[in-house]
Amino acid sequence: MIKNYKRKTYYIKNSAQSKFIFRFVAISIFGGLLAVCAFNYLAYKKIDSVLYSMRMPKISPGGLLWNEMIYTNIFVIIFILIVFSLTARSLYNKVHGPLKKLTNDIKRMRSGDFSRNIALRQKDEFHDFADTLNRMSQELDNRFSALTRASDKIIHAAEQMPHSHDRLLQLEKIQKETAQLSQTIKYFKI
Amino acid sequence: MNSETRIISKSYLTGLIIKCSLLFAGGLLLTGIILYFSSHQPLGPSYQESFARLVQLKHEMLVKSISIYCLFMLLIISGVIFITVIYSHRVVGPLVGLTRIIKAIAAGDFTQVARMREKDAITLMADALNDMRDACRGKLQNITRKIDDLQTLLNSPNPTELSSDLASKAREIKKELLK
Repeated sequence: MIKNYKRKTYYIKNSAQSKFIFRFVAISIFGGLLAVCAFNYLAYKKIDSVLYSMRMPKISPGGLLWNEMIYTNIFVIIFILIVFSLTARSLYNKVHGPLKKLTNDIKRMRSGDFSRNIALRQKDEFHDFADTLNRMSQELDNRFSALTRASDKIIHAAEQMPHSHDRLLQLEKIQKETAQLSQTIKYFKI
Repeated sequence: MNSETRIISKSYLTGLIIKCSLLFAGGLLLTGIILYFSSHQPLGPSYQESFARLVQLKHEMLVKSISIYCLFMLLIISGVIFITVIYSHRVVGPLVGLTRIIKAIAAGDFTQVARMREKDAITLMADALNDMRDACRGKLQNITRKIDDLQTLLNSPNPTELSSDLASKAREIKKELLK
């Protein structure tokens, strides 16, 4: 059964995605501004120096400013590379921590421990996801404890039965609890 | 589980940084080339003419460079948006699918499988969820079988004689639950 398998929406509202995109766009804009400012500053200096030097080079203005252009761009590219890496790393860490915690919690549930709630820190992402997981954990915990309670009662009644003078009463209890068990288990689609 | 295990692989991070940086570098280099060719006629021939052109260049420079940079920045930014949307979706996108499965499990349906695309970043989490689902499913299947056994015992001719069998079956169920 493959449904909803193709990516339908690439942008999911109310998630870490907007922060992620926004940071990178902001850095790019900042890089652009930096490049414009640096280039113009260097270019003005160069033009001024040529104007005051009283000797005109026989090259085009583009060639005249080529070095300034290259220096500016290389500087900005390196700068942006560093900022991109730092930002990506910090976002990665921010997302990775909660995801790792959630995965470990799922692994804990695998071993049958539904007792604890997943607690993410206030600042962490994925609160909605953790809530859903908690609800599931609680739901399963309730169902499983109902099963445990019913089987406890059966054990108790069965142990009482040989010593009891009203065996049929104990048997009735067992029948009732067994019916309870099979009804609870029918809830699950397995 | 090893505490150093990464849910999101390192290649995700490097891929993102390299793609964004290459895009940025490419955009800026193109800007440089365009600026170069936008004023490639040599100065001269006379000193006055050259001087006049340089002065004019100095006046035009700001507007010209800003407009060319702006044009390329728009291209770069749309590229960056594109890349970051794709990359961030590899993390948050699968969560939507996983949420659906978790909701199904909460409603008692253990038949749904968490599917991941090859490039999705959180396959480890999906694996853990599938693993948990399988474990619960196996547990419940065993319990179902044991409940059936219990019922068979109860339906036998004189169940009152079978109290120890009943008790041991119920204990097995309980053991399965606590496993």
